[in-house]
Amino acid sequence: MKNIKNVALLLVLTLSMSCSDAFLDVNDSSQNPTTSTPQLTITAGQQYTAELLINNGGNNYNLLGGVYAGAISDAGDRVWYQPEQQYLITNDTYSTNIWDNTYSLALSSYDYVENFEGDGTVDYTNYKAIAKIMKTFHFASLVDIYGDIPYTEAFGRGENTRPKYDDDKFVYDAIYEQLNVAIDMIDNASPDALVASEDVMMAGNMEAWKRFANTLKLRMLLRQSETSIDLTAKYAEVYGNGIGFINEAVTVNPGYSDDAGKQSPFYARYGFAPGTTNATNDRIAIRGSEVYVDFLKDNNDPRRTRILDEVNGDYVGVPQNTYEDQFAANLTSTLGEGLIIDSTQDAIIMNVSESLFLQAEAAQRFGLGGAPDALYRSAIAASFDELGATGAAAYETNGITPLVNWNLAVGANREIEAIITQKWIANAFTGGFEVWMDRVRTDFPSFVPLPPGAFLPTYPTNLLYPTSEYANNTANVPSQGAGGSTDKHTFWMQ
Amino acid sequence: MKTKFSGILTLFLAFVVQLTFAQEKSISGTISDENGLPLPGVNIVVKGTTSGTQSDFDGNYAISASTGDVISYSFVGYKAVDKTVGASNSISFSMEVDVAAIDEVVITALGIKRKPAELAYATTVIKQEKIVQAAPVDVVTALVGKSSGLNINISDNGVNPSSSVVLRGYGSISGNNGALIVIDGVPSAQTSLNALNANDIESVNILKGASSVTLYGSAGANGALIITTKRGTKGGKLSVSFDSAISFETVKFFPEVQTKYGSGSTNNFSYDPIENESWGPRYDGSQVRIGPVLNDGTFQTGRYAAIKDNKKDFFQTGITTQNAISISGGDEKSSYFFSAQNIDRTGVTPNDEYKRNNFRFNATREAGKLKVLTSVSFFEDKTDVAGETPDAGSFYRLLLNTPGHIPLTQYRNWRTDKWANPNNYYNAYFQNPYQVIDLNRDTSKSNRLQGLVNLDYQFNDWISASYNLAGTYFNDSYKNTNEAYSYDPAVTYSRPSDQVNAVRDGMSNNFRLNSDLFITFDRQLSEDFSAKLILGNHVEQFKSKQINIGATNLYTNSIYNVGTRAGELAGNESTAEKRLYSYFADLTLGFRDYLYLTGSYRQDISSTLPSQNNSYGYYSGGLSFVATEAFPELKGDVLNYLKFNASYAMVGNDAAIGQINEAFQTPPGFPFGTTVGLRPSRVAVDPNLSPEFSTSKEAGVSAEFFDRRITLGVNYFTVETKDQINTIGASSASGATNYLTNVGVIENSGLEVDLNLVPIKTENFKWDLGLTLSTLNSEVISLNEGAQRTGVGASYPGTAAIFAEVGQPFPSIYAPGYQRDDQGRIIVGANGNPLPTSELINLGNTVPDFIAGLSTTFSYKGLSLSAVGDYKTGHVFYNTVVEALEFAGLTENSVSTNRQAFIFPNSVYNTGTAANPVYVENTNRPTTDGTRNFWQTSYNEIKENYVVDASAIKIREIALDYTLPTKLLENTALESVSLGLVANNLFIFTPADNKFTDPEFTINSGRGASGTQITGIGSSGQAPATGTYGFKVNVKF
Repeated sequence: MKNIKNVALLLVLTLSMSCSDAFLDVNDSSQNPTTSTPQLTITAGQQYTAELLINNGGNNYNLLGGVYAGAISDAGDRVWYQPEQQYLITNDTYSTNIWDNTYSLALSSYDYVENFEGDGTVDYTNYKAIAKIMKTFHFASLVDIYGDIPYTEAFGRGENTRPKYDDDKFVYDAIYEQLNVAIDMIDNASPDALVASEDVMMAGNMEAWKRFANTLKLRMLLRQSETSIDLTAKYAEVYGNGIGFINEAVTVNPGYSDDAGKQSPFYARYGFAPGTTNATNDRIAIRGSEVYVDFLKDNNDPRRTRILDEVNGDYVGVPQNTYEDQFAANLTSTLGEGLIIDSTQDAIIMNVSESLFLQAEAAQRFGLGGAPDALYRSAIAASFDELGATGAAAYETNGITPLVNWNLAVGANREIEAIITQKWIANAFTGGFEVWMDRVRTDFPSFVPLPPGAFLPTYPTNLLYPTSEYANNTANVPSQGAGGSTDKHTFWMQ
Repeated sequence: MKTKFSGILTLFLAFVVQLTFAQEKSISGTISDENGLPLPGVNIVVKGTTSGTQSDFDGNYAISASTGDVISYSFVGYKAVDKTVGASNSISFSMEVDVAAIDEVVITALGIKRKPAELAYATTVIKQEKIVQAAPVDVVTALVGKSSGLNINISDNGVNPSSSVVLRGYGSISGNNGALIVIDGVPSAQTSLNALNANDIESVNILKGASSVTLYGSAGANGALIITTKRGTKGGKLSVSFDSAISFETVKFFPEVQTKYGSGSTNNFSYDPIENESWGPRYDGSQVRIGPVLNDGTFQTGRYAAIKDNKKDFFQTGITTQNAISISGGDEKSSYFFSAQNIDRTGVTPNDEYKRNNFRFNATREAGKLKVLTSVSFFEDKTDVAGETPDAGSFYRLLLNTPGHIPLTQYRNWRTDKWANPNNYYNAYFQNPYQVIDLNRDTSKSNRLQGLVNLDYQFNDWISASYNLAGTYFNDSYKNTNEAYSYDPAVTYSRPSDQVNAVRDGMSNNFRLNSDLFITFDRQLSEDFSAKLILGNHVEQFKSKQINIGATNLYTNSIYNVGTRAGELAGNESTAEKRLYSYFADLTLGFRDYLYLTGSYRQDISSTLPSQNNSYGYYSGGLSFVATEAFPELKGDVLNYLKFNASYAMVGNDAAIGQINEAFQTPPGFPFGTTVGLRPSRVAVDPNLSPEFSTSKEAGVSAEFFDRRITLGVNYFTVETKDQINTIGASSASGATNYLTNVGVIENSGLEVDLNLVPIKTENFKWDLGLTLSTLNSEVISLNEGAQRTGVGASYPGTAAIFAEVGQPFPSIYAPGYQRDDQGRIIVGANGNPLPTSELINLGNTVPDFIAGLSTTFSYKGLSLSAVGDYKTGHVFYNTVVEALEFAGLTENSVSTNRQAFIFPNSVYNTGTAANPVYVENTNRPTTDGTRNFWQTSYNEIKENYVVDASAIKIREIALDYTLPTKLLENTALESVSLGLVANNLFIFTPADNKFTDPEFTINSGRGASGTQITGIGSSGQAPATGTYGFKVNVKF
């Protein structure tokens, strides 16, 4: 009997030892917090914006755009951007990085800020307005690249892991309207609203955010220039609301430094390793294309000394997808000091020159906002400023081609061609995505050859939906044929 | 209750009385085996007493007994004998082999010993001698081919290789698929098994299905390997054993490369002396310049012809020495076993080193009704291997990028030799591999201390309690360094980038405590019925902590310390903790020793699940029926034994530690000075996550024929894992790329056959043959609604990835393939080159659907020859080695058309429109070229070319052993001496399309990682496959 009692006692002892709730309460995260605030997350979103455009592990919007616009190639002995130059676009290449990272890193951060509730004691209107503007900025690019995308059902996280796709024009109109909502929020913000002091783009300057929003509106309207959509009222509103357009570059700089992982994304990718003078692999590889560099040289463009490094007394580009020793890294020009400044340089999201080229185009097409020639010339001047070059006026007036000299660009289409080609020259490396989209829209510049060995018969107009969507959102993702990357399937391309 | 106890008490009294009044005398004698040779270790017990002994090495024994007492003699594998003490003081006889029944007890879950007749499920026992026969460094390698249902993957060939142990296929998409490793009753990390001294192992019992391990709970869902270490022999004399082995490791499988074309990187066959790619002119044997023209105008020259094995000869012969000692013995009531082992290993990669020490002390003591076992073991190791360059990755990839005419082995002395010196080295783009392995080192040290106490208390003849307490402390530290190298700034030709000093440093430790209590009630209920009930409680606790720090720019290389850095310190720290407790019950009902019904139930309460779902129960049941016992007339000379078994089991599984926390993440780079940032997690978590369950059913038969000359076990199983705790892919547009929830059903089924034959057995000669066959049929039944497939494990984006796809075997590999018409012909584009599919296509299953293992031993007197081989097939794999070679222009296919354009075989092109294609046979559109542009780009984009048959036949072990005749040692202190020649992985046979590497190499089962163990993608970070051969000696005193 005693034995049985002992056994029972032992059992009771072990049972009682293991039963309290506190005993099991050991599963909390030790490394990462489970809550955030708009101040903490806006910076994450903005840094991701810079990464996506400029670095992103080498698969960034601007590099892809710069290659597809025919401006960027790589050294003949470095096989670095070959898939890009071959127009190799599968569902699983860089498109996964572009799609996944845009949605789940940048947009997801902005969505968190936009919908932050907290305990209601702090008025986050300014942060939320910034988040709205940045959401539109990214959604617009996604529509450009992919066409139809998830929008209304996006960001459901676990509640909806397979959001439906929305019509591309519907999304474009909706996000355009969100810019107006953001501007209204800023205009009507309570004086108690928290100043967005953590904003690493415009340091909480909400007037500057309004100008950026208005400039984005102009960019989105001009995207639709080749469609028959009547945008008259919208143009009138953009020019009539008194906000104006950006007067300084829109940039990201959270406090870049000369440390691993903390360098400015452009410098980190195409500059030098932290704390050293060791060129990165991308610096050794990246080159201007032959047509791009030749255009600079043929027109005696002073910016060539800023965009490119001299090699053997000359500036040498590389024909796209041409891997020959005569174009080896040490025989061709890498990026110059106008682009590669130092580890702390600002990450450029939108240049003033781009804004001015947009205004010049709107002026040329619709007679809005001033004389197109003046805006064209001030856009070129802004580009010279941005690159640290001088002599913009002489460059333009002495230009012997209608792609430089406005006065030679006789006829509407010639003027548009001059604007787009100059935009291409000015923004090839700092706004590559925009120059690609301009090429898709206008087919300018007109003199870019098809790279030898390209997989596609023409330059790409779109990317394909990523493998992750076909795997995880099978029922919703639209089917795309083999020609999906050249068929101009976004609504404004048609 | 009360009456029975009184009864027992009465019995006990009677027994005491008997002891007191009987007339004692000493009985002695000699026990011999069926051949008349002395039989040591026979258990000799005077029935009804606790008095017992064992025969010594010469078969002699002595025991006190009284006239009329019955002495029972028993020995595993022999028929027990009872002798009644008569007038004589001597009892000697020969024991007979028991051919009718397998007497061995099988150690099952929680150390519960069961008779094979009770087992309702498949198990395989691998004994000591089969494990050590080829002197393995890593026990895991010694299990391959020796049991059905077991799929062991040795995933690389370094000095401290990784491996995965999977039983009955892959059931979990994102969880662990590895088998549970239990060492002396203590669940342990697989690395504990990798690190174990093989000489310490008494047996490995492989419990293949969940039915056998319900009692281990969650951890046992994928089956278990129960390892029992040696004990000293009670009453045995002091025994000392020395084991030494030396083995030599060489590269056995180096990728086949073309030897016709030398360096160049254009499409026009121009020679480039500083190029690492091989798209140059055809080798012609002329003298050419190799490398740059130095600033002083000198340059290296060489013959323009391929040097045989110029890359393979980079690798050296690795040497492994193993020395081990063990001391064991005991008296009547206690036993001890002590062992120590040292392993010292150099790798095939120059400078790679591995050292390991193992110590173990096991002791037992009986004190009346209490039995105590304690075990303490200590392990330490030290690894020093080549690391990767920050810029260009592994040395092996650089090595593979070497044209055939480069005299690579001459560049060994890279600091002093003129042409090996980095400033003068031939290659303008990549470093000398010898420089890479010198400047980049990954070093690590780890140690593990395990202490274990087991108390067994026999309350009476049918109630006993057992308590286990085990603690394992593991600690690991690493330091990976990159040493700076600056090229002479005066050189005017291209050189790779300078390298700066960098260090990554870290440590982790973990502690695991297990407590198990179980109480066993074991009664013969009546003449026909017996019952055994086990009630138990299990508590486990796991804590870990790790710290990683690093700096990418140190100003000195005299020491590598983050304190000597320029710039910021990078680092992180994390801790993890888990607690789990369980209650379980296990009941076995027996009827007349031939029908057994078992059932068990377990309730787990785990800290890793949301509190509303953290308690979950599951159960198993089984039936076994020994037909030859039930119907003795079945038994005869042909059939000796026949048993049928069937079982059903369910096992619940919890989440990983901290997995349910949806925590915000600090993005890369943050903080930037005072700017801080947090982003939402990319993994959304189901707040209502519940445990996952796998259900397995199996049925089988085991039979023995012709005096056990043939034994056969056949089992069929199905395992269904459902409500899996899965981090499935989510549309990124949801804001998360993954979603952790309960979803997905995978079903695996298969047949397992273990056949053992003794085809020839004479007095001096014996031939043993063991054959194991396993088939595996796997299918993903469902995933989350609206999803067709989900990615698994690591992958190379745009290249190849592993997926689970509904309706397909799991796991399957996907890569860009050929675009084909409806007749399967390859579609070429306007330029004649084949077109890659834009979407990844399924190229096959990465797990073998058929595995056969064959082991055989021929023994003649003291001589024995053993071999073990296995064959795996039905699966495919992809290794980046081939891509590296294709890029470098070194594959054999790249010279298959003499580098000329050609009409792509079996191809068509479209003469219709994209929407309405019309395909015509291609007879007139040759490829753009037959050299660099075609092979390095067009062909290389179609990764289907490199997903190849992973079938392989491997001869894993060959061992020739000679044991000296005992006569020779009669007058020495030596008890036995054996010598042997051993070889491991000496041969590998692969299909013609695999010219690259061992198909088992995989990037997904990192050492120590509790990863998914998913195989199928390998990388050029893994050195080539090797084999070893050597010599071993064992001396016993």
